[in-house]
Amino acid sequence: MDKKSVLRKKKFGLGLRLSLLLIIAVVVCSSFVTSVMAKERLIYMAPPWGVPSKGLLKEFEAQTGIEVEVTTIGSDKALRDKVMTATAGGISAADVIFTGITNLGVFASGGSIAKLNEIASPDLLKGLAGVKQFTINGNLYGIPIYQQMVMIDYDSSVLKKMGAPVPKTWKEFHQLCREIKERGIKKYPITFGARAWSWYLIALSMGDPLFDENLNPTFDKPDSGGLRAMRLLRDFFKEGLISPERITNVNPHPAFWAGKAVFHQAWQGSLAISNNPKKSKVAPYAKYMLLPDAHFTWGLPAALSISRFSRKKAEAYNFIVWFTGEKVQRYLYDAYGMYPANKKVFAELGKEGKIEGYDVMAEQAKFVRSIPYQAPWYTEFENETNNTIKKMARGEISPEEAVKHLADFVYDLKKEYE
Amino acid sequence: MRNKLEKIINSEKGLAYLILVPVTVLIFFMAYLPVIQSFRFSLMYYNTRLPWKTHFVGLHNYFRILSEPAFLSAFERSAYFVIIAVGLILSIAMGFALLLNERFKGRSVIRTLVILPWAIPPVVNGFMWKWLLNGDYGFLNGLLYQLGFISTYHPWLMHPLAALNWAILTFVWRFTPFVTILLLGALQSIPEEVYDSAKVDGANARTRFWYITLPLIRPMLAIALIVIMIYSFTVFDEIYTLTGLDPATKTLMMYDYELAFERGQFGLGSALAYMIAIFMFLMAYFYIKSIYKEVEL
Amino acid sequence: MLKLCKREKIIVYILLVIYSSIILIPFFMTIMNSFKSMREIFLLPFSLPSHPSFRNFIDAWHQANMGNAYLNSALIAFTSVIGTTFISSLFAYAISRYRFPFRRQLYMYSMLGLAFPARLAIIPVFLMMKSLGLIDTRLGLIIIYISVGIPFSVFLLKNFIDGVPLEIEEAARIDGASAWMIFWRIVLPLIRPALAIVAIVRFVGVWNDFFFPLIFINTRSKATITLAVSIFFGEYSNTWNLLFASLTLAIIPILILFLIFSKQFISGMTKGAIK
Repeated sequence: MDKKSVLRKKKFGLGLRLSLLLIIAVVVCSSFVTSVMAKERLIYMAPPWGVPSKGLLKEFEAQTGIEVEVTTIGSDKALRDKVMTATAGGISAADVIFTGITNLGVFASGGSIAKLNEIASPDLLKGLAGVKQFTINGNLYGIPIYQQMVMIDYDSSVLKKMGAPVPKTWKEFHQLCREIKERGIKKYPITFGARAWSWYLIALSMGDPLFDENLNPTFDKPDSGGLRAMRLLRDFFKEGLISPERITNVNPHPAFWAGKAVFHQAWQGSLAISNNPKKSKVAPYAKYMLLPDAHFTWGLPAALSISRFSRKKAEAYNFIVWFTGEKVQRYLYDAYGMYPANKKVFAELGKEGKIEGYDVMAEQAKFVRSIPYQAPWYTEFENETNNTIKKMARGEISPEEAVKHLADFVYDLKKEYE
Repeated sequence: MRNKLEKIINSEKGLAYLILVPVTVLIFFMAYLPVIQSFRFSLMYYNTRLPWKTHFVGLHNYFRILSEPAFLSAFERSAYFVIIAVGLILSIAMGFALLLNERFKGRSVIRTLVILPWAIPPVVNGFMWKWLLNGDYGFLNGLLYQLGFISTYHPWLMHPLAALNWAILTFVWRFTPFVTILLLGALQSIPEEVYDSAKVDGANARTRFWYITLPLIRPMLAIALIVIMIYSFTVFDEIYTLTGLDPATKTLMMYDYELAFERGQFGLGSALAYMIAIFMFLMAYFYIKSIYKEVEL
Repeated sequence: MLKLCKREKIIVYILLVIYSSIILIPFFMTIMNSFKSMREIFLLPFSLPSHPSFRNFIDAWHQANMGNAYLNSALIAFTSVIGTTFISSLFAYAISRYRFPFRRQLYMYSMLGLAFPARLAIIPVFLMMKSLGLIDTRLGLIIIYISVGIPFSVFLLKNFIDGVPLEIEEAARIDGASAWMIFWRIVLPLIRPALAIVAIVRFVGVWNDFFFPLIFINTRSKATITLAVSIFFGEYSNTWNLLFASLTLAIIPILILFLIFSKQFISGMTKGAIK
């Protein structure tokens, strides 16, 4: 009898000890939570290139008493997944959300981000570039923090070696690349990824706006710039002017920085990396070139939006105002090569001569088109375009089929989204 | 109060109910409820970009998916993936379990090494292999080039079938260790005497394997088979970081992700998820039933 | 034992060496790249780092907040593994030993969880967690992981328990041992190998999970290791040296754990695998 009760007590003791451990763990957890919740806290979700330095964030906290917790998400898609899931669940994933233009339509129509017309001051907006791009049907959904045109940069040392001028038409471009390859200077002179952006780049600069005012495709018209661009892209792959690796590894930047290509689909500000000898082999010979033919390109700016479900909208707005202030805007440029949306800062940087390739940039800036990212179906279209171009680059479908398929896709999408 | 609790724990019935009821409830909330709600979603048109347009459509989503050509090719890819993965993993794992069952110097070192790939998070694994196979500066290219096996760098993932095969290999690399250990465990439970007497009877290695080893580890083989099937069917993270939404590697899981998250079509995505789940359940059910012919309930 | 002759043994050795090399290559590449500078990574893919430094590790540690991430991953993993193992063993025991109506169906019921891919049920699970106020909490993740681990664990454990001879329990019962005592002191020790398997499988599964932390965790202080590492992943990020350093840091704990516990794990498996 005694032995049994002793055993029983022992067993109870063990069971108790285990449950106590669990409870302690949970308590530690939750106390952690409540201690952090004590201060006024804002959650800001962004990719790595949208994050201010720790020092700057501490300054903000000192000024306003608001602590900012930054959730860094590596990829655009992961950020979008998070936001959309939280939206479906009716809560905010963060108070302030970094909204790249590509996610604008999705976030806005899905109800993830709030309309900012009431809360944003017109004076602030006047001093920023790109406000229109984040406005849909008169509603402002994000306050721009940087501007970014898609551009081409190239290795000028190779052109010098060839004694060739910068190509002004796509025909010249094509011919020049053929020669570079034939002369054995670079095996794959062009580094464009097998993705939508490469097609947009060529099509837009060939003069095809891709979509008309009613958001109907213009690229399925016979002999449209879109079709010619698709053919050219296919030829680039077929003739081995673009490395086949670009089909699966669509990021075109490393190959350029490794010195393996001459022409590179880059962005406004890429020279900060291309001419940095620590990061790029091409340094210091990288230069921007004005896009051939009709010169048109498009922009990939980003803005900060306020979550529709946030309970701290006023504080969030203060954060955004601070973000578009001189200090943070300069930081974005210095650390990530992102061009300030703040017009004053941009002009100052230009005057200080800090912006490399400023002249070409200013010239290119005259030829910027908008891609309809504000349409809720746009990212679906871009996803399908990525898939389609991959197939075409692999030779599975022809450029004509690709263009037709994409146009049909748009018509179907528009019907669904009516 | 404490005495009452003691009484309950100490009686069979009490203990049984004390654990069965809460766990059943937990499973209901964490497994069945989401599944039921997913079914609800699958009966609706639910586009996360147009949330106000959500409305009931009955079984329309199911028909729509079944009629999509993309569905059929995704299904083919998944089937291909599972079949090859099962074949590769079972044979490699069986082979190495047999080898590791032998006594030799350094056996414990090799055994430890063998498990390591299983420790890698699938997200990381896909990414690692993506770098390995990079056509411009990948490790594999560098290695083969240095060894003189290839004269120029190869874009390994370019060809669609190659991409799919590499995806399978990435998964196989990570998953085989686990199965190897499972089979090794089963092998080690076979007493030596059985082999000894067989050898005395004049059976050679191959006969010993086919007629003694295999039958004795059949239950474990069946479990391994089912585990491989389920995991290989639902591979996601690896493919996502290896090739993203590349059409070449668009298995059913990738296709479903694209529908639900990339395109925001949650109704369609839930319907497809349902079909995947039913398929997997049937797969699991029939195998478990067949195992139970051997091991009685 | 297949009892091979010498020639066959040599073939065995060669095969194992090849297999081990294949296993090790990705690890080797990852670790090597962690010591290189960014330029070196894509200019000299196959050579050893020219100026190996720990700089990358330090930077990656700070940028990704890895110390915190380790703590979070450890907390979540240990708690959920203990939870799953405890609950599943009790549940499996009850199903195996006790006679009650719908016993077989309950077993099937508990294993159904294996079927539905978690990612696709994310919105309902999210809604449920939200109604419980468990979004952005580690407790929420723990609950999810415990539940997710039950099907496989119950499956494995029940099989093991079925193989334990009834006589021992009968004897204990005759001696007057209570049900709990029989479970805790007699059956559990006998199925230790299976418990080890369940614990390790679940640990690896929880530690390496990416999707649930991605969706449920919003605040940086609660990020797990896989989340912390993922900030270097994006398509347009270009700090590959930091990325590899963080990957190395992320897999080191599990590698060490495996190295320490592999002997137990493997020997545990051999002491009475599924009969």
